[in-house]
Amino acid sequence: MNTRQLAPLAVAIAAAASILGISAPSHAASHLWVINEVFSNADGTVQFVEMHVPSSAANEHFINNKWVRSVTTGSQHTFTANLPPGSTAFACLLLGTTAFAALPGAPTPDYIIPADFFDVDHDTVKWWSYVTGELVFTSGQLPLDGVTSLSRGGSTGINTPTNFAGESGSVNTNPTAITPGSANEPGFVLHVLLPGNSDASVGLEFALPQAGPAQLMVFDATGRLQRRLFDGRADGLVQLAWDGADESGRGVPNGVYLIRLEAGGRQAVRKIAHVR
Amino acid sequence: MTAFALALALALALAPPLAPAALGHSLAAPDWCTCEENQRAAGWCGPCATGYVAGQEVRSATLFEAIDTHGHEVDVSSLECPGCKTAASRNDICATCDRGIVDGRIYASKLSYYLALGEAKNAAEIAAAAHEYELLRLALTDIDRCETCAVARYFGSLCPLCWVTYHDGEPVETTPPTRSRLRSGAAPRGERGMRASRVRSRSTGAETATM
Repeated sequence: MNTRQLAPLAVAIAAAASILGISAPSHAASHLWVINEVFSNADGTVQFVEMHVPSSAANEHFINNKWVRSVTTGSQHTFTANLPPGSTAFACLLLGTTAFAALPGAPTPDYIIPADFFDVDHDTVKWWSYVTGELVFTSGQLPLDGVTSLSRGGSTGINTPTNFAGESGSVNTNPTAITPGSANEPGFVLHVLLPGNSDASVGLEFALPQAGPAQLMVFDATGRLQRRLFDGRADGLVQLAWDGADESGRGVPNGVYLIRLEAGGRQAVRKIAHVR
Repeated sequence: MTAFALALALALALAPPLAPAALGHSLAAPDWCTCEENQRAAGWCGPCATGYVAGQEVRSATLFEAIDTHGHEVDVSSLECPGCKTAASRNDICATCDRGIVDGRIYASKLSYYLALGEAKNAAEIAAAAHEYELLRLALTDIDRCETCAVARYFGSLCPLCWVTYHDGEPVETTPPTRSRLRSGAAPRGERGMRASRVRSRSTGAETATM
Protein backbone atom coordinates (compact mmCIF):
# COMPACT_ATOMS: atom_id res chain seq x y z
CA MET A 1 0.00 0.00 0.00
CA ASN A 2 1.54 3.34 -0.96
CA THR A 3 1.26 6.58 0.92
CA ARG A 4 -1.51 7.86 -1.30
CA GLN A 5 -3.63 4.83 -0.59
CA LEU A 6 -3.04 5.24 3.10
CA ALA A 7 -4.13 8.84 3.07
CA PRO A 8 -7.85 8.29 3.59
CA LEU A 9 -7.04 6.01 6.49
CA ALA A 10 -4.85 8.68 7.96
CA VAL A 11 -7.57 11.26 7.59
CA ALA A 12 -10.04 8.94 9.20
CA ILE A 13 -7.76 8.08 12.09
CA ALA A 14 -7.05 11.73 12.70
CA ALA A 15 -10.77 12.35 12.67
CA ALA A 16 -11.33 9.39 14.91
CA ALA A 17 -8.90 10.68 17.45
CA SER A 18 -10.71 13.98 17.61
CA ILE A 19 -14.27 12.80 17.19
CA LEU A 20 -14.89 9.15 17.91
CA GLY A 21 -12.58 8.72 20.82
CA ILE A 22 -13.85 11.76 22.63
CA SER A 23 -17.49 12.22 21.95
CA ALA A 24 -18.80 9.24 20.11
CA PRO A 25 -22.56 9.13 20.40
CA SER A 26 -24.14 6.17 22.05
CA HIS A 27 -24.89 3.77 19.21
CA ALA A 28 -27.49 1.18 19.95
CA ALA A 29 -27.27 -1.95 17.86
CA SER A 30 -27.02 -5.68 18.29
CA HIS A 31 -23.34 -6.43 17.84
CA LEU A 32 -22.86 -7.75 21.32
CA TRP A 33 -25.27 -10.66 21.15
CA VAL A 34 -23.56 -14.01 20.78
CA ILE A 35 -24.77 -17.53 20.15
CA ASN A 36 -24.25 -18.80 23.67
CA GLU A 37 -25.66 -22.30 23.97
CA VAL A 38 -27.02 -24.96 21.62
CA PHE A 39 -28.81 -28.17 22.45
CA SER A 40 -30.15 -31.03 20.40
CA ASN A 41 -31.40 -34.52 20.90
CA ALA A 42 -30.05 -37.22 18.61
CA ASP A 43 -32.67 -36.88 15.89
CA GLY A 44 -32.72 -33.09 15.86
CA THR A 45 -36.36 -32.72 16.76
CA VAL A 46 -35.67 -31.12 20.13
CA GLN A 47 -33.32 -28.20 19.65
CA PHE A 48 -32.74 -24.80 21.09
CA VAL A 49 -30.36 -21.95 20.35
CA GLU A 50 -29.76 -19.49 23.14
CA MET A 51 -28.36 -16.04 22.42
CA HIS A 52 -26.84 -13.90 25.13
CA VAL A 53 -25.36 -10.47 25.80
CA PRO A 54 -22.25 -11.27 27.83
CA SER A 55 -21.92 -7.84 29.40
CA SER A 56 -23.98 -5.04 30.90
CA ALA A 57 -24.65 -3.48 27.47
CA ALA A 58 -28.22 -2.32 27.86
CA ASN A 59 -29.21 -1.20 24.36
CA GLU A 60 -28.75 -4.20 22.11
CA HIS A 61 -32.35 -4.14 20.87
CA PHE A 62 -31.95 -3.76 17.15
CA ILE A 63 -32.37 -7.25 15.77
CA ASN A 64 -35.06 -6.55 13.18
CA ASN A 65 -34.31 -8.14 9.79
CA LYS A 66 -31.28 -9.90 11.18
CA TRP A 67 -31.02 -13.63 11.34
CA VAL A 68 -29.68 -16.70 13.03
CA ARG A 69 -28.54 -19.22 10.49
CA SER A 70 -27.13 -22.70 10.32
CA VAL A 71 -24.34 -22.87 7.81
CA THR A 72 -24.59 -26.63 7.45
CA THR A 73 -28.34 -26.98 6.95
CA GLY A 74 -29.03 -23.57 5.48
CA SER A 75 -31.91 -23.08 7.91
CA GLN A 76 -32.46 -19.52 8.93
CA HIS A 77 -34.63 -17.63 11.39
CA THR A 78 -35.10 -13.96 10.57
CA PHE A 79 -36.28 -11.62 13.30
CA THR A 80 -39.20 -9.48 12.23
CA ALA A 81 -39.09 -6.85 14.95
CA ASN A 82 -36.70 -5.26 17.36
CA LEU A 83 -36.68 -6.34 20.97
CA PRO A 84 -39.15 -4.70 23.36
CA PRO A 85 -37.96 -1.98 25.72
CA GLY A 86 -35.96 -3.07 28.71
CA SER A 87 -32.32 -3.53 29.42
CA THR A 88 -30.44 -6.12 27.44
CA ALA A 89 -27.71 -6.39 30.07
CA PHE A 90 -26.85 -10.08 30.40
CA ALA A 91 -30.09 -10.89 28.60
CA CYS A 92 -30.84 -14.11 26.76
CA LEU A 93 -32.97 -14.87 23.73
CA LEU A 94 -34.29 -18.35 23.19
CA LEU A 95 -35.07 -20.00 19.88
CA GLY A 96 -36.51 -23.46 20.21
CA THR A 97 -38.31 -26.13 18.26
CA THR A 98 -41.93 -26.97 18.95
CA ALA A 99 -40.92 -30.28 20.49
CA PHE A 100 -38.53 -28.47 22.79
CA ALA A 101 -41.22 -26.01 23.87
CA ALA A 102 -43.53 -28.90 24.75
CA LEU A 103 -41.09 -30.53 27.14
CA PRO A 104 -41.50 -30.21 30.90
CA GLY A 105 -38.95 -27.81 32.28
CA ALA A 106 -38.55 -25.83 29.08
CA PRO A 107 -38.88 -22.08 29.38
CA THR A 108 -41.11 -20.58 26.71
CA PRO A 109 -39.03 -19.93 23.60
CA ASP A 110 -39.04 -16.36 22.36
CA TYR A 111 -39.02 -17.70 18.80
CA ILE A 112 -39.93 -21.05 17.26
CA ILE A 113 -37.51 -22.67 14.86
CA PRO A 114 -38.11 -25.78 12.73
CA ALA A 115 -36.84 -29.20 13.78
CA ASP A 116 -33.35 -29.99 12.50
CA PHE A 117 -32.61 -26.30 12.46
CA PHE A 118 -28.92 -26.99 12.89
CA ASP A 119 -26.92 -30.09 12.13
CA VAL A 120 -26.31 -32.52 14.96
CA ASP A 121 -22.87 -33.49 13.68
CA HIS A 122 -21.07 -30.27 12.80
CA ASP A 123 -22.20 -26.77 12.17
CA THR A 124 -21.59 -23.06 12.48
CA VAL A 125 -24.55 -21.23 13.96
CA LYS A 126 -24.21 -17.65 12.87
CA TRP A 127 -25.71 -14.53 14.35
CA TRP A 128 -26.21 -12.38 11.26
CA SER A 129 -22.98 -11.01 9.87
CA TYR A 130 -21.45 -10.58 13.29
CA VAL A 131 -18.51 -12.90 13.00
CA THR A 132 -17.67 -12.61 16.66
CA GLY A 133 -21.10 -13.90 17.62
CA GLU A 134 -21.08 -17.30 15.96
CA LEU A 135 -20.81 -20.69 17.64
CA VAL A 136 -18.89 -23.39 15.82
CA PHE A 137 -18.81 -27.08 16.60
CA THR A 138 -17.10 -29.90 14.83
CA SER A 139 -18.00 -33.55 14.57
CA GLY A 140 -18.45 -35.10 17.99
CA GLN A 141 -18.50 -31.86 19.95
CA LEU A 142 -22.26 -31.54 20.34
CA PRO A 143 -23.55 -33.83 23.08
CA LEU A 144 -26.63 -35.79 22.07
CA ASP A 145 -27.46 -37.49 25.35
CA GLY A 146 -30.65 -35.53 25.86
CA VAL A 147 -29.52 -33.44 28.81
CA THR A 148 -26.15 -31.91 27.96
CA SER A 149 -25.71 -28.81 25.85
CA LEU A 150 -22.76 -27.13 24.20
CA SER A 151 -21.80 -23.63 25.23
CA ARG A 152 -19.77 -20.95 23.57
CA GLY A 153 -16.13 -21.75 24.05
CA GLY A 154 -16.70 -25.49 23.78
CA SER A 155 -17.73 -26.32 27.31
CA THR A 156 -20.58 -28.71 27.98
CA GLY A 157 -22.98 -29.09 30.87
CA ILE A 158 -26.60 -29.58 31.80
CA ASN A 159 -28.66 -27.48 29.45
CA THR A 160 -29.90 -24.16 30.85
CA PRO A 161 -32.08 -22.52 28.20
CA THR A 162 -33.11 -19.01 29.22
CA ASN A 163 -35.52 -16.67 27.48
CA PHE A 164 -35.69 -12.89 27.20
CA ALA A 165 -37.90 -12.64 30.27
CA GLY A 166 -35.20 -14.38 32.28
CA GLU A 167 -37.14 -17.60 32.65
CA SER A 168 -34.63 -20.43 32.84
CA GLY A 169 -35.13 -24.16 32.81
CA SER A 170 -33.68 -27.46 31.81
CA VAL A 171 -34.97 -30.31 29.69
CA ASN A 172 -34.33 -34.01 29.51
CA THR A 173 -35.23 -35.87 26.33
CA ASN A 174 -33.83 -39.11 27.63
CA PRO A 175 -35.44 -40.02 30.95
CA THR A 176 -33.49 -43.25 31.12
CA ALA A 177 -30.17 -41.49 30.94
CA ILE A 178 -27.89 -41.96 33.91
CA THR A 179 -26.79 -38.40 33.51
CA PRO A 180 -28.28 -36.44 36.36
CA GLY A 181 -31.61 -35.08 35.78
CA SER A 182 -33.62 -32.02 35.38
CA ALA A 183 -36.81 -30.31 36.28
CA ASN A 184 -38.99 -32.84 34.53
CA GLU A 185 -38.30 -35.50 37.10
CA PRO A 186 -41.34 -35.71 39.31
CA GLY A 187 -40.81 -33.98 42.60
CA PHE A 188 -37.32 -32.76 41.75
CA VAL A 189 -37.79 -29.06 41.18
CA LEU A 190 -35.78 -25.87 41.35
CA HIS A 191 -37.45 -22.56 40.77
CA VAL A 192 -36.06 -19.06 40.53
CA LEU A 193 -38.80 -16.86 41.93
CA LEU A 194 -37.43 -13.55 40.68
CA PRO A 195 -35.90 -14.43 37.37
CA GLY A 196 -33.98 -12.10 35.17
CA ASN A 197 -32.42 -8.81 36.08
CA SER A 198 -33.00 -7.92 39.66
CA ASP A 199 -31.38 -5.42 41.97
CA ALA A 200 -32.77 -7.21 44.99
CA SER A 201 -32.34 -10.68 46.41
CA VAL A 202 -33.15 -13.57 44.16
CA GLY A 203 -35.80 -15.82 45.57
CA LEU A 204 -35.27 -19.55 45.14
CA GLU A 205 -37.19 -22.64 46.04
CA PHE A 206 -36.59 -26.31 45.56
CA ALA A 207 -38.11 -29.62 46.46
CA LEU A 208 -36.99 -33.24 46.32
CA PRO A 209 -39.05 -36.34 45.60
CA GLN A 210 -38.19 -37.54 49.07
CA ALA A 211 -36.43 -36.06 52.06
CA GLY A 212 -32.64 -36.23 51.92
CA PRO A 213 -29.40 -34.31 51.77
CA ALA A 214 -29.17 -31.51 49.25
CA GLN A 215 -26.89 -28.71 48.22
CA LEU A 216 -27.82 -25.48 46.52
CA MET A 217 -24.89 -23.53 45.16
CA VAL A 218 -24.19 -20.45 43.07
CA PHE A 219 -21.51 -20.58 40.39
CA ASP A 220 -20.25 -17.80 38.18
CA ALA A 221 -20.03 -18.09 34.42
CA THR A 222 -16.56 -19.59 34.61
CA GLY A 223 -17.72 -22.35 36.94
CA ARG A 224 -16.26 -21.00 40.16
CA LEU A 225 -18.29 -21.57 43.29
CA GLN A 226 -19.44 -18.25 44.67
CA ARG A 227 -21.86 -19.19 47.39
CA ARG A 228 -23.21 -22.28 49.07
CA LEU A 229 -26.79 -21.40 49.84
CA PHE A 230 -27.96 -24.68 51.30
CA ASP A 231 -26.11 -27.73 52.51
CA GLY A 232 -28.19 -30.03 54.63
CA ARG A 233 -31.23 -32.22 54.79
CA ALA A 234 -34.19 -31.04 52.78
CA ASP A 235 -37.73 -32.14 53.46
CA GLY A 236 -40.59 -30.64 51.51
CA LEU A 237 -40.42 -27.27 49.82
CA VAL A 238 -37.35 -25.24 50.74
CA GLN A 239 -37.46 -21.51 50.13
CA LEU A 240 -34.51 -19.17 50.47
CA ALA A 241 -32.92 -16.14 48.87
CA TRP A 242 -29.57 -15.17 47.47
CA ASP A 243 -28.54 -11.65 48.32
CA GLY A 244 -25.94 -11.39 45.56
CA ALA A 245 -22.99 -11.89 47.91
CA ASP A 246 -20.24 -14.49 47.80
CA GLU A 247 -19.05 -16.65 50.69
CA SER A 248 -17.11 -13.75 52.18
CA GLY A 249 -20.11 -11.48 52.10
CA ARG A 250 -18.86 -9.33 49.25
CA GLY A 251 -21.23 -8.47 46.45
CA VAL A 252 -20.46 -10.42 43.30
CA PRO A 253 -19.94 -8.59 40.00
CA ASN A 254 -22.78 -8.20 37.55
CA GLY A 255 -23.13 -11.17 35.29
CA VAL A 256 -24.74 -14.49 34.66
CA TYR A 257 -24.73 -17.02 37.46
CA LEU A 258 -25.76 -20.64 37.64
CA ILE A 259 -27.85 -21.89 40.54
CA ARG A 260 -27.23 -25.60 40.94
CA LEU A 261 -29.22 -28.03 43.04
CA GLU A 262 -27.61 -31.38 43.82
CA ALA A 263 -29.45 -34.13 45.64
CA GLY A 264 -29.57 -37.89 45.43
CA GLY A 265 -27.08 -37.97 42.57
CA ARG A 266 -29.19 -35.63 40.50
CA GLN A 267 -28.76 -32.03 39.46
CA ALA A 268 -30.89 -29.15 38.31
CA VAL A 269 -29.39 -25.91 37.07
CA ARG A 270 -30.95 -22.51 36.52
CA LYS A 271 -29.33 -19.48 34.98
CA ILE A 272 -29.90 -15.99 36.33
CA ALA A 273 -28.61 -12.55 35.46
CA HIS A 274 -27.40 -10.58 38.43
CA VAL A 275 -27.42 -6.83 37.90
CA ARG A 276 -27.04 -4.52 40.87
CA MET B 1 5.08 11.32 18.93
CA THR B 2 4.78 7.68 18.02
CA ALA B 3 6.03 6.17 14.82
CA PHE B 4 2.46 5.71 13.78
CA ALA B 5 1.68 9.36 14.37
CA LEU B 6 4.72 10.29 12.30
CA ALA B 7 3.55 8.02 9.53
CA LEU B 8 0.14 9.57 9.68
CA ALA B 9 1.54 13.05 9.59
CA LEU B 10 3.57 12.14 6.51
CA ALA B 11 0.59 10.55 4.86
CA LEU B 12 -1.55 13.58 5.62
CA ALA B 13 1.04 15.91 4.20
CA LEU B 14 1.20 13.96 0.95
CA ALA B 15 -2.44 13.19 0.65
CA PRO B 16 -4.86 15.05 -1.57
CA PRO B 17 -7.62 16.68 0.42
CA LEU B 18 -10.79 14.72 0.82
CA ALA B 19 -13.36 17.17 -0.43
CA PRO B 20 -17.08 16.46 -0.51
CA ALA B 21 -16.92 16.76 -4.27
CA ALA B 22 -14.82 13.63 -4.22
CA LEU B 23 -17.83 11.70 -3.08
CA GLY B 24 -19.06 9.88 -6.08
CA HIS B 25 -22.73 10.49 -5.52
CA SER B 26 -22.69 13.97 -4.06
CA LEU B 27 -23.95 15.76 -7.16
CA ALA B 28 -27.11 13.71 -7.09
CA ALA B 29 -27.48 13.74 -3.33
CA PRO B 30 -30.72 15.06 -1.86
CA ASP B 31 -30.78 18.36 0.00
CA TRP B 32 -30.96 16.58 3.32
CA CYS B 33 -27.83 14.56 2.56
CA THR B 34 -25.60 14.27 5.60
CA CYS B 35 -22.61 12.76 3.83
CA GLU B 36 -20.29 15.62 4.62
CA GLU B 37 -20.71 15.41 8.36
CA ASN B 38 -20.78 11.63 8.29
CA GLN B 39 -17.57 11.51 6.35
CA ARG B 40 -15.93 13.29 9.23
CA ALA B 41 -17.70 11.30 11.92
CA ALA B 42 -17.45 7.87 10.30
CA GLY B 43 -21.22 7.79 10.19
CA TRP B 44 -24.08 6.76 7.96
CA CYS B 45 -25.96 9.06 5.61
CA GLY B 46 -29.47 7.66 5.48
CA PRO B 47 -30.73 9.57 2.45
CA CYS B 48 -27.79 8.39 0.39
CA ALA B 49 -27.58 4.95 2.04
CA THR B 50 -23.86 5.43 2.34
CA GLY B 51 -21.55 5.10 5.29
CA TYR B 52 -18.02 6.32 5.74
CA VAL B 53 -15.20 4.30 7.19
CA ALA B 54 -11.59 5.40 7.02
CA GLY B 55 -12.44 7.78 4.22
CA GLN B 56 -14.06 5.06 2.14
CA GLU B 57 -17.63 5.13 0.95
CA VAL B 58 -19.43 2.05 2.16
CA ARG B 59 -22.68 1.65 0.25
CA SER B 60 -23.85 -1.27 2.26
CA ALA B 61 -25.66 -0.97 5.56
CA THR B 62 -24.71 -4.56 6.29
CA LEU B 63 -20.99 -4.00 5.92
CA PHE B 64 -21.11 -0.61 7.57
CA GLU B 65 -22.89 -1.96 10.61
CA ALA B 66 -20.66 -5.00 10.85
CA ILE B 67 -17.60 -2.77 10.95
CA ASP B 68 -19.15 -0.93 13.87
CA THR B 69 -17.41 2.41 13.66
CA HIS B 70 -18.85 3.80 16.87
CA GLY B 71 -18.47 0.82 19.11
CA HIS B 72 -20.45 0.01 22.19
CA GLU B 73 -19.95 1.55 25.58
CA VAL B 74 -19.91 -1.08 28.29
CA ASP B 75 -19.02 -1.36 31.93
CA VAL B 76 -15.79 -3.27 31.40
CA SER B 77 -16.04 -4.83 34.82
CA SER B 78 -19.19 -6.56 33.59
CA LEU B 79 -17.53 -8.34 30.69
CA GLU B 80 -17.89 -12.09 31.09
CA CYS B 81 -14.97 -12.92 28.82
CA PRO B 82 -11.67 -12.83 30.75
CA GLY B 83 -9.83 -11.96 27.53
CA CYS B 84 -12.08 -8.96 26.99
CA LYS B 85 -11.44 -7.79 30.54
CA THR B 86 -7.71 -7.95 30.02
CA ALA B 87 -8.01 -6.24 26.65
CA ALA B 88 -10.12 -3.49 28.20
CA SER B 89 -7.44 -2.77 30.76
CA ARG B 90 -4.87 -2.30 28.00
CA ASN B 91 -6.98 -0.79 25.22
CA ASP B 92 -6.17 -3.94 23.31
CA ILE B 93 -7.80 -6.63 21.19
CA CYS B 94 -9.32 -9.69 22.84
CA ALA B 95 -7.66 -12.72 21.31
CA THR B 96 -10.69 -14.87 22.09
CA CYS B 97 -13.43 -12.63 20.73
CA ASP B 98 -11.31 -10.78 18.16
CA ARG B 99 -12.80 -7.48 19.24
CA GLY B 100 -10.96 -4.33 20.21
CA ILE B 101 -11.70 -2.27 23.28
CA VAL B 102 -10.74 1.38 23.63
CA ASP B 103 -11.61 3.47 26.66
CA GLY B 104 -14.48 1.23 27.64
CA ARG B 105 -15.96 0.89 24.16
CA ILE B 106 -16.06 -2.43 22.37
CA TYR B 107 -15.43 -2.32 18.63
CA ALA B 108 -16.60 -5.26 16.57
CA SER B 109 -13.90 -4.82 13.94
CA LYS B 110 -10.20 -4.25 14.17
CA LEU B 111 -10.38 -1.37 11.74
CA SER B 112 -12.79 0.48 13.98
CA TYR B 113 -10.58 -0.38 16.91
CA TYR B 114 -7.54 1.16 15.26
CA LEU B 115 -9.55 4.20 14.23
CA ALA B 116 -10.72 4.69 17.78
CA LEU B 117 -7.24 4.08 19.14
CA GLY B 118 -5.88 6.88 16.98
CA GLU B 119 -2.30 5.77 17.42
CA ALA B 120 -0.22 2.64 17.27
CA LYS B 121 2.14 1.23 19.85
CA ASN B 122 4.58 -0.18 17.34
CA ALA B 123 5.29 -0.93 13.71
CA ALA B 124 3.32 -4.14 13.87
CA GLU B 125 0.19 -2.21 14.78
CA ILE B 126 0.78 0.20 11.92
CA ALA B 127 0.98 -2.75 9.55
CA ALA B 128 -2.07 -4.33 11.12
CA ALA B 129 -4.12 -1.16 10.73
CA ALA B 130 -3.05 -0.83 7.12
CA HIS B 131 -3.98 -4.47 6.54
CA GLU B 132 -7.46 -3.90 7.94
CA TYR B 133 -7.84 -0.93 5.66
CA GLU B 134 -6.84 -3.01 2.68
CA LEU B 135 -9.36 -5.68 3.67
CA LEU B 136 -12.04 -3.03 3.70
CA ARG B 137 -11.07 -1.90 0.22
CA LEU B 138 -11.31 -5.49 -1.01
CA ALA B 139 -14.63 -5.98 0.71
CA LEU B 140 -16.07 -2.93 -1.00
CA THR B 141 -15.69 -4.68 -4.32
CA ASP B 142 -18.19 -7.35 -3.21
CA ILE B 143 -21.04 -5.07 -2.25
CA ASP B 144 -22.93 -5.12 -5.52
CA ARG B 145 -22.71 -8.91 -5.73
CA CYS B 146 -23.24 -10.00 -2.13
CA GLU B 147 -23.11 -7.79 0.94
CA THR B 148 -22.64 -10.78 3.19
CA CYS B 149 -19.63 -11.84 1.17
CA ALA B 150 -18.28 -8.34 1.66
CA VAL B 151 -18.56 -8.80 5.40
CA ALA B 152 -17.03 -12.27 5.24
CA ARG B 153 -14.17 -11.02 3.09
CA TYR B 154 -13.39 -8.23 5.50
CA PHE B 155 -13.61 -10.41 8.61
CA GLY B 156 -12.01 -13.48 7.08
CA SER B 157 -14.99 -15.72 7.64
CA LEU B 158 -17.65 -17.67 5.80
CA CYS B 159 -20.48 -16.12 3.82
CA PRO B 160 -23.44 -18.21 4.93
CA LEU B 161 -25.38 -17.31 1.79
CA CYS B 162 -22.76 -18.26 -0.77
CA TRP B 163 -20.78 -20.62 1.45
CA VAL B 164 -17.52 -19.06 0.44
CA THR B 165 -14.86 -18.78 3.12
CA TYR B 166 -12.42 -15.90 2.95
CA HIS B 167 -9.00 -15.58 4.46
CA ASP B 168 -6.87 -12.46 4.27
CA GLY B 169 -9.29 -11.00 1.77
CA GLU B 170 -9.21 -13.98 -0.57
CA PRO B 171 -11.79 -16.70 -1.18
CA VAL B 172 -10.14 -19.90 -0.09
CA GLU B 173 -12.87 -22.50 0.13
CA THR B 174 -16.44 -23.13 -0.83
CA THR B 175 -18.42 -25.45 1.37
CA PRO B 176 -22.05 -25.95 0.39
CA PRO B 177 -24.33 -27.35 3.06
CA THR B 178 -23.61 -30.98 3.61
CA ARG B 179 -27.30 -31.68 3.94
CA SER B 180 -29.08 -31.18 0.70
CA ARG B 181 -32.50 -30.32 1.96
CA LEU B 182 -33.41 -26.73 2.53
CA ARG B 183 -36.40 -26.58 4.79
CA SER B 184 -38.96 -23.95 5.49
CA GLY B 185 -37.30 -20.81 6.64
CA ALA B 186 -34.13 -21.49 4.76
CA ALA B 187 -32.95 -18.85 2.40
CA PRO B 188 -32.40 -20.02 -1.14
CA ARG B 189 -28.94 -21.15 -1.97
CA GLY B 190 -26.83 -18.53 -3.63
CA GLU B 191 -29.11 -15.82 -2.35
CA ARG B 192 -28.09 -12.29 -3.19
CA GLY B 193 -26.50 -13.18 -6.41
CA MET B 194 -23.54 -15.48 -5.87
CA ARG B 195 -24.02 -16.81 -9.35
CA ALA B 196 -20.51 -17.76 -10.27
CA SER B 197 -19.81 -21.44 -10.27
CA ARG B 198 -16.20 -21.00 -9.42
CA VAL B 199 -14.17 -18.72 -7.25
CA ARG B 200 -10.64 -17.88 -8.12
CA SER B 201 -8.03 -17.33 -5.47
CA ARG B 202 -6.30 -14.10 -6.19
CA SER B 203 -3.11 -15.23 -4.55
CA THR B 204 -2.80 -18.70 -6.02
CA GLY B 205 -4.86 -18.42 -9.13
CA ALA B 206 -6.40 -21.73 -8.26
CA GLU B 207 -10.06 -22.22 -8.92
CA THR B 208 -12.39 -23.92 -6.54
CA ALA B 209 -15.50 -25.57 -7.87
CA THR B 210 -18.64 -24.34 -6.24
CA MET B 211 -22.24 -25.40 -6.05
